[in-house]
Amino acid sequence: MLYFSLVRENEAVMLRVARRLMDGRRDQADDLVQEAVVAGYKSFCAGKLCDLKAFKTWILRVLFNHFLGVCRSDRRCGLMDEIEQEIESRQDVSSPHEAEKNILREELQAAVLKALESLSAEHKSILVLIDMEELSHKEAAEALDLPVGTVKSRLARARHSLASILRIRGLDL
Amino acid sequence: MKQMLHSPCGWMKPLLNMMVEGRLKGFMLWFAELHKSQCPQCTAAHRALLATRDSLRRVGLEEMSDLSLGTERWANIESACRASELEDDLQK
Repeated sequence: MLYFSLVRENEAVMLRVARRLMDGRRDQADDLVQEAVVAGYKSFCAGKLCDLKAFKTWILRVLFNHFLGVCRSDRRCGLMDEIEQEIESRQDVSSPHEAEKNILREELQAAVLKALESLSAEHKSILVLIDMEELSHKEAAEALDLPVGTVKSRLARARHSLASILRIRGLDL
Repeated sequence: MKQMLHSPCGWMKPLLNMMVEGRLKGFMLWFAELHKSQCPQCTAAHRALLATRDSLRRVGLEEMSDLSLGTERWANIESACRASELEDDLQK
């Protein structure tokens, strides 16, 4: 059937995005994709996808909506109050000069992944889609069901947030 | 987020982001570069944004193992889809 062949074409990108969104928890990420594929089937059969060329962003939107549902139910992806407090409390004491000067690339990447876990679902999603999966602003806007302008401003805020988290954790960027 | 460490000037935030993406051109690029050269906060923020974006890119390029749902999950998906079709038929 057409739907399943389209899903199989996009299976890898869905799994990559889901694993990033679920902080590397593979089983939960695979569950998320499985549920999204089933939910997508119902919408697909109901004719909710007008243009087959847009299947990738459409199925990513279904996946993202499921991800938000998971976040709402377990509350672990909520806004990062803890991090915000940490940033505020360290506002005056942290200095880039105190941080380590030479950080290996691998360490930085590991730190980035860890910091990504602290971001809100909205910020994490936009970074995963645009900076990691390299979707265009327009594609990300379609996948997240947002205007392109919102995507751009949210992306800017997400990058600033991630950079700030890395700095308060002592990474000299 | 209410406040950032080493926050850039507020009006520079979108410009810095556009610089990182290479979308800033012409006069605005010149103007932003000029300001950045005189503002340590914006210089630090620009460097941090570049490093963060580049790290995300590298992480994104890393290969993940086994990017497939596997036969068992596919069987579950197909049976769930069939079940939803039957449900819809019954409702009709």
